[in-house]
Formats: sequence, structure tokens, C-alpha cells
Amino acid sequence: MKHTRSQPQSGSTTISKRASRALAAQSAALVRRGLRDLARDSNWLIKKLFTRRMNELVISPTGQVCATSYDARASRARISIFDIELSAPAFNLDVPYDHPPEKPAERASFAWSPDGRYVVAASPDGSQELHLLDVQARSHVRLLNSFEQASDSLAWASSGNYFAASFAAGDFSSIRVWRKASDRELSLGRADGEIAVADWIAARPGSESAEDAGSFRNYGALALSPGDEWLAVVAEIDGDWADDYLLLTRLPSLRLADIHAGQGHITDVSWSRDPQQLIYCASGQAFRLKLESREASALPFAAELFRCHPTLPIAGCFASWLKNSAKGRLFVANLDDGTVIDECPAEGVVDIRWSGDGTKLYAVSQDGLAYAFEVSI
Amino acid sequence: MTTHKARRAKPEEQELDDKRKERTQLESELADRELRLTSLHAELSAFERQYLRQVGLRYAELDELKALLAEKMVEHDPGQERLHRAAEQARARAQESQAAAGTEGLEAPPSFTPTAEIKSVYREVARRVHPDLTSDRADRGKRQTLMAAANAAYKTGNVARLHTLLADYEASPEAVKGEGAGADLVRVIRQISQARNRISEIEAEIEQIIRSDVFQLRVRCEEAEQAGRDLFQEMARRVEEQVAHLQQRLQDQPMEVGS
Repeated sequence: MKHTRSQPQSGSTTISKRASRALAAQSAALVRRGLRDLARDSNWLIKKLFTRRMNELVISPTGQVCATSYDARASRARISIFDIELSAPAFNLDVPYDHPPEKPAERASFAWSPDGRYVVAASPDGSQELHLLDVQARSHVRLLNSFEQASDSLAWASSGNYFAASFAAGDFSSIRVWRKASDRELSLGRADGEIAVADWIAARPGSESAEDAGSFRNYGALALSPGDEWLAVVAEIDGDWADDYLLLTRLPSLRLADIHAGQGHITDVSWSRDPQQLIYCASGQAFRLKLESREASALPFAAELFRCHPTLPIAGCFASWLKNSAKGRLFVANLDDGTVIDECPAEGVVDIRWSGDGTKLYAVSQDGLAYAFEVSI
Repeated sequence: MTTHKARRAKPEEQELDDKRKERTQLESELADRELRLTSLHAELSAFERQYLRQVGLRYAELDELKALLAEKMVEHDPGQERLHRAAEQARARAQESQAAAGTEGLEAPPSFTPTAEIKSVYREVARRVHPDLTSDRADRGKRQTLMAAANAAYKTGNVARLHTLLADYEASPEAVKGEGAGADLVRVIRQISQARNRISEIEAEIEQIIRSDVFQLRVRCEEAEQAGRDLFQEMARRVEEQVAHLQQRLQDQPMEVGS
């Protein structure tokens, strides 16, 4: 016997008409149910965080996303914080810049503290100030320092003990690193280590003269190793076909230990859980650099962004182009056997980060889509 | 030949001129935001109807079968209080799902795809009659009514109605302005303030909408569409599989109990 809804059954009650608000709530429940069932079928949670297009987005270890926004009514830049996990409204933090910009910023740099409570903000365009914000307390803590050059890249060690920043000034650009006193808040007074362009430019491999390797453009990604031994810095070289350099420096002095020529422009650097291995992405391809042999080998992944898991031999990656499809994807890869564990179509991803406890991978795109992947171990 | 000496604008006239330019910019911005918000509401409403028709109705069918199954189990074992409670809950859920999806499923929902013309006319109406662009209380009331009518016309694609609303307002006495620079300046400043407040309200409302479940579901659908998939179809298929499974159980139920 086949039952249909038209057959009256004993014990069933007639369907009554409800108020439109109640109907709206019920239809919302059906939508929620559909979303929940979709989540069951996929390991990737996808959410829309914002509608405007933003390029400079940095994810925290707790799944919050930091961005520069612009308050048109007050004509001032501010920092917006979005939350991937919670469906809570975004909130804004006002930063008392000495010279607030008169238009929305196009560039910004941020670095989250390892516990996700603080963020150091170097924004907006050309600002020479670094500010410390307490995201948990939703407040501006203080101006950390004001420098003679604008800061481009910032990095906070996973231990919380070191903070690194690059400063853009052409051939006078520099990288500085500060060691945090264990019992104090981050302080950016006199740097513990510094490396200038002149300190490494003459030591570049395979070049007889400065012209051979193109001209230095800027410093790119910074990555502090687990165990606080190394700082890896990308030195970007001008020219479509030029190879960027990966500078390996010792902490805290930033003494140059090695210069490695990447195969093209380097878009990302990530230390593996073993601090003797470094993964970098050059021209859309992932490479593994072993510090012992100083030799790099291509991994079987096309990737522009790469984040190694803090404790497992896996990594979260983004590639904007896939063979035969020209489609982008986010994926989790096994670094031991070179296989892709899980993947999800994605475009325009600008940052990836593992949660502090390593249970989730977060990613965010410039169009405001956030992705969360839960690791099943 | 008569020569005219160019009259130098008074400070308040100069200020009024600047403020009017600012108001014109804000009028345009506000109209854009209103268009975006109204479009978003209409698009999501059409999307939700489509979802309820394609997927929601199947959930309602699934819940109805679950309720029937629960009621059958009560019939065969009426002494179990736990089964009674489960059947009541299943029936209540089935009714809720039916109420939400049932009426939506009877007719194919019209998709919301506004033409460039209707967008342009709506934008012009919003720019001209937006209630936050007047400081006159009586005029504000009239504009609120007009704006509500314009929103309804936009959502139903009635471009002729939008033209009529605009023409009616243009011919009304409220559209005529002018009481001197000082009064005008105060009025324009208030209008600017109202327009800015409304823009902030719209921004907040849009932020709220994009966090809603229905918006998130639409994002998933668009993502799937880009990958050449029809997410509604996939979802419906999964629910249909569950429906088929339950129908089989309902058929088998008497034999199971009787054996």
C-alpha cells in the first residue's frame, strides 16, 4: 500500500492556515534544514561574509577575518572584523591614525597573535604606523610605533615570541624582527634584528652582475619557523619572467644563511611541522625546500597559497587554475604521499589559515566567501 | 548697451550650492542602495519560492510519510506512550513543513529578473521621491506611500506603474520648492543627514540579509551552478531517495508487525 498526503489517516489533524509571519519562520526552517543537509554531504562549510570586494584579508587562528573598511560618513578608515564560525554581525574598530586617509585604502597588512586575541594593523595605504588592536575587547590598545617607511608585510611567530615586518623603500627596504619579552605585551622599539637589501643583493646565486637577476621590487611573504629558528622572506624581483628569491635568515639576528632562487614569482611560503622543510609556491606550483640539502623539489600540486598543518603532514592549498578547466579550487593535500584528501571549487581566495588547534582550515575570498574545512582524524 | 554687474553669491547661498551638490550625490547613492536592497529582497524571495517548490515540497512529503509511519506504529502498538509522543511530534512537524511548502508548490514561482529599463525607472523614482530626501513632514508621508508602491511595482516588474508614480509626484505641489536661502540651507542639511542615516540603515540591512540562511543557500547554488551542477535538483533527489525508502517501509510495515 502506498500512502499519499491526500489520504486521510486516523489520528492526523487537518492543516490549518497560519499567519504569514509564522509561515515565513517555517519556510526559513525548511531552508535551514536544506543547508544542514548540504553540510552533511560536504566537508566544506561555505558562507558569505560580506558583499563588497576586499583584497587585504587576513584570517585569525580562531576563524575571524580582518579587513580595512572605510566609514564614508566619518571619512575615516577603520578595521572590520568578520567571524567565519559565528553568524554574528561584523564589528568595526576605529584606529586613531595620525594621518587618516581621505579615500578607501587599497592596501593593508595585518598580523594576528597566535591566540587570535590581538591584531597588528599596518593600514591603510602608505601608513607608517603600526597599531595594536585587542579584538576580544573590541578596542584599540596603542600605537606600537611610527616608522620612516610604510610597512608591507607582517608576521607573528606561532610561539608568539617574535614579530617581523618588512618596510618598503626600494633599495633601502628592510626587514626587522622584534623579540617579545615573555611577561610583556608586544613592543616594537629597537629591533632585535634587521636585514637590508644591500646585505643580500650581492650574495644572489648565479648572477655575475645586478642586472642579471633583474631589479629588486619589494619584500613579499614572511614566515617564521616553528621553534623560532628561522625567518623566511620572499624578495620580489621585477620582470614577468624573473625569479624571486627566498632569503633564509636566522632568528633573532636575521643573519643571512642562504638565498634560494625560486622558479618564477613566489606567492606564498609556509614552514612544515618539521622546521627543516619549507614549502613555497612559485608560478602556481608548490615546491618543497629541504634546509639540510638546500634543494627544492616540485610537489604534485598546483598552488598559489599553501599552509602546512601545525602538527599533521597535511596542508591547505589554493590554486586559481586547474589543468583543463581554468577553475580554481581549495584543497587539503597529504604531504607524505602527494594525494589530495578533499577539495572544493573556489575562486579569488586571498588567505588560508589553520585554526590554532589544527582541527579546521579556514579560507576567504576577495568576494567575501568564507570556507571552513573540518579535519577528520 | 546695458552692463550687468555679476552679483557675488552670499556666503549662505554659496554654502547652499555646495550642500545641494552634496545632496545630489547622496540622492544618487541612496537610489543605488535602495535599488540594491529591493532587488536583493525580490531575488531572495523568488529564490526561496523556487527552493520551496523544488525541495521544500519534498521535505513536506518526507515529513508526512514520517508522520504516517509513526501513526501506524501507534496503531499496531497503542500501549507505548513513547510512540504516541513521537507520532504527535512527527505530525506537528509534517503540518509545519506542509504549511511552509504546500501552498508554494502549487504554482511555478516567477523568477525575479528585472530589466535594465525597470531598474533605471525605479532608480529615478527612488532618487526623486525617497522619503529620506525631504524634511517636510507632510511630504515625507506622501513619499513613504509612493516608495512602498514603487517597491511593490518593482518586485512585480510593473514598469508602467513606476512611470505613473513618478509622473504623479512630479506634478504634485510638494515637488515645488523654495523659501529663501537660509531656510533652504537648513532643509538641505537635514535632507543630507536623513539620506546618510538611511544609507547606513540599508548597509546594515544588507549585512543582515547576507548572513541569512536563504542567502547562504543561494551562494551554494551559485557556486554549484558555476561548476555545472543544479543544487536544487541534487537536494531534491536526495530527499526523494528518503521518500522512496519511507514509502517502502510503509508498505512493509503491516507485514513486519503481523509476522
